[in-house]
Amino acid sequence: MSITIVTSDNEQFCVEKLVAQRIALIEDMVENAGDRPIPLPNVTASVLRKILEYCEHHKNDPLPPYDDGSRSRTTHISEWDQKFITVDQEMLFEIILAANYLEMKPLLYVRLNVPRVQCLTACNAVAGDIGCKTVANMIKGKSPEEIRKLFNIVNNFTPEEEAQIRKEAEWAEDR
Amino acid sequence: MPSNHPQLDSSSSKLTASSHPCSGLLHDTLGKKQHDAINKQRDLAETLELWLLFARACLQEMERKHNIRCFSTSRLPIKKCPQELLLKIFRYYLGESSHQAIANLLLVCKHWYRLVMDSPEIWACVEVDFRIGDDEAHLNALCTYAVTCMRRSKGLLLDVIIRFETLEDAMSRIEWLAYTDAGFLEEQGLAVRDIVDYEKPENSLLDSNNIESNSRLLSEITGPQGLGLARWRSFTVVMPDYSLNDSIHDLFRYPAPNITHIDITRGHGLQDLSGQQVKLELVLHLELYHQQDTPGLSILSACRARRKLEIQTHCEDEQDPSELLRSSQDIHLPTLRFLILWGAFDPFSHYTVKFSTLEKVIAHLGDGWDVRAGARPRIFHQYLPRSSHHRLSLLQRLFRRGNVIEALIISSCSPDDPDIITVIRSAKMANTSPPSLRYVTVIAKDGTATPIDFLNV
Repeated sequence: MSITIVTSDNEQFCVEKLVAQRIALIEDMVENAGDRPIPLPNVTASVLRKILEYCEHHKNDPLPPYDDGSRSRTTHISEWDQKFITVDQEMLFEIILAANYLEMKPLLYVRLNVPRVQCLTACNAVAGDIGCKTVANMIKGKSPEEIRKLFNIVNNFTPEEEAQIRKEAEWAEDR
Repeated sequence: MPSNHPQLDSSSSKLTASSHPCSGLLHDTLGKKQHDAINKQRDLAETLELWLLFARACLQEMERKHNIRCFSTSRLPIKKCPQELLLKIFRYYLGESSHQAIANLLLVCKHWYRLVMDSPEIWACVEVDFRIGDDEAHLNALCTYAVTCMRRSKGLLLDVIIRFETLEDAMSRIEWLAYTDAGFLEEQGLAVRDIVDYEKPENSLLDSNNIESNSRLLSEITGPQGLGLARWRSFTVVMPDYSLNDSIHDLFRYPAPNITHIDITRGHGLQDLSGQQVKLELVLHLELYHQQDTPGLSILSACRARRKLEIQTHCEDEQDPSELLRSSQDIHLPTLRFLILWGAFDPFSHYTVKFSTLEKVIAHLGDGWDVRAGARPRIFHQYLPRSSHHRLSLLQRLFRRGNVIEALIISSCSPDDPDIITVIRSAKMANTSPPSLRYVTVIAKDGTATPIDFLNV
């Protein structure tokens, strides 16, 4: 069984229900929508295509390790995911935003009928997580100046303000 | 010379006529008028001052909002990120880098600075490395860092990470420094031959000043009378391979009633817990890396609330694992849901273990892990060893044991692996696969998961 999703730029996607159920936002809408197409006004076709590509590839994934949410400890990304997330910055942040908005969850949770609350607490939004980890990896090992350059952020500190922050954080100088 | 002008009473800041030399009605009238006028001006000045303060606060708020607006309405991709996602990225970054890398985030732009400064959860961590031979200035700077974290985290529970450098690591570092900085050894009062002889550097580098500074930094983290330990939520420690000074050891002997996560590397594992008075019944996550022996695991039964347990075992090549296990007692883990096993051998092999609520097992053990009587994990995830001989026997055991597994996940394995096909076929023919098994998934080295239709192999 499949359902139809309409993106913000009016493109229609026919998606297998089991895959769509992985997206919590859509799962909620499916019950009320009946046979009508489900609108996703905050997601463009190019981003949804990418998200569905991720869902399709990971549809057989096992449950992620039990995570009690205490600390974000690892930024490890598998080989396929690395290739998937090798996109331009604009698309990278679009994926992060869309995955966060759609509340994605691993498909095996759907199959084993794990309650939704447990899904959302036991694993973070999946594709979005890969995106956040990728951004964290991009920042890793870079100086503030390099981070600004990477994301095109303007340094809006005055030299005095910057000097003051450096002085307050002198502990960070000898890392 | 006395002044003819009315005087200000410095204590009350109010005008008084007590020092005026004249007296009488005229004087009283003039004096009162002047007095009133000056007080009126003072009131006005105070009001203006208040307005000025208010205006400044408004300007600061407007500047803050402007920074956020500029940031969020910009067409630059990262600036579309809402604060909660930016914070998530920061948490990943700090989890992977040292927590002290938080300084890099502060210096990027005003928006990031404000966001980090206003997010106590980002500061709720203290991560320090005690390197042998660190100078006092460096340790003082670390003290400032620890105090900043504790103050800015505003009472949230803390993740505390302490790593003591080992002598071996210190020697490698010093050796490297000696090659890159010729004057370094001279400054330390060491000769090149000392690098080979560990005794001399140990005595030279573990000097009293260093230990004193280390104690001071630890005192900052543990707080006065160890009261700061009540704020510790998790404690990760890499113990040194030399004896700690008594004053440092004492700092670990205070009660730490809120710790729910403990990771201990090196040392004697659970024996170290007896130093720190952790409420074992609250511990949810215990990660132990034993390098010398496996202590009495029966103490695990005391960890009543624990849901996740991660154990790594290790033995030297010449040691027989069975010699390392001391007793054959019962272990009751009534709330354990998730078990992760790493290393050389099964730490529970000499125990009678009761895992009444176990849901998931991840086994990185080369010889696998046999699901015990009483354990009913729905999900079993096995990482296959490289050796082909082990792979086959391990897979055969996985399909024979455990009659409650619903999902079997096998990592480091391709779907067309002849071993897995052979094992599934033979298990089907002999009718020995677990009757509850519904899903078998293999995960290749690139992370691609493939379901195996084991009923139709």
